Amino acid sequence: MNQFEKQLQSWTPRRPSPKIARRLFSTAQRAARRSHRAQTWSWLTPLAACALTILVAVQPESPAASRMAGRTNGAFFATFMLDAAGSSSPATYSLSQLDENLEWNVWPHASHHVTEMRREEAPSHLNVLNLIPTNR
Amino acid sequence: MKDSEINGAWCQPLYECKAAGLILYGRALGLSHGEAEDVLQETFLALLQLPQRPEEPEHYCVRAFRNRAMNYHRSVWRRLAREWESARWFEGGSGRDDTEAEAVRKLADLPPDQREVIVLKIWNGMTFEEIGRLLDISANTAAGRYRYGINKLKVSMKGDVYGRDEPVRETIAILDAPSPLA
Repeated sequence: MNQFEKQLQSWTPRRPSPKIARRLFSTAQRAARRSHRAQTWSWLTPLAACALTILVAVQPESPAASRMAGRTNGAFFATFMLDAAGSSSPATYSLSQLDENLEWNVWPHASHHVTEMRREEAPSHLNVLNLIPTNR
Repeated sequence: MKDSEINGAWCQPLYECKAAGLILYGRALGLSHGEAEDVLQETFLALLQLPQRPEEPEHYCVRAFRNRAMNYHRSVWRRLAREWESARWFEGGSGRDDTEAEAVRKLADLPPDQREVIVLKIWNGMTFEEIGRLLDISANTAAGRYRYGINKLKVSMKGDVYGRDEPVRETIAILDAPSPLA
């Protein structure tokens, strides 16, 4: 190639507008990114599942878990049994109203004798009521 | 995954490599810059839709571009827009605008077949064998057209631009685009 041809070659042809490349390849780039993400998840998900399974399988062998396993489970079950929220729910309450065993614990009339005490009859050490001025 | 998504992997580097050369080739085939851009986009859209990568992507791409450029139908509005469009064929550079404008003018005055071979050889980096395959001519014919064309260009530019003592920064308002190839 002679000097003249080299000079011609040194001129850079005008580039097309950048928006053409964006229009052409933006979808392809998005798809490639999506595909890359999908590939990552395809191995990450089974790996995470395996790790979780191993963790669950190995957990009772840990010292803290062993201590927990050695204890009685009374407190644990008591927590379940004392389900305050459950017992105060309307359904549970209406059921217990119908329970006939509940009647054994009902105390319909007070059996304790209560005497009405008049102010004059009150013992002197309890006569504080006299200190309060009344209309009588 | 769609074909366009798969083909993007090889089409994008090809685009980066060939786009500017193809735009210039489009200009040499008689298109305006905007028209050459349209044809370039259509060509690469078609490449993205191909079911598989061609054996020779570069050759396939230039051939597809040429076919589309030859079949490009211009509307009246496109012709009007072309008249107003910049006549610049190359990226701007300091101190060579006059020379470049003259070169473009002389290049546009060359016979279309010589102009085409020169653009393919110099700015698209193709060999005479490749040019011959593209244009369905022999490599010798391609080389002959090139030599004739480049000599004409050289002589005309020597007698014009190179002969000037002081370059005159004349404004070349609208250059006639070269006539399309038959």
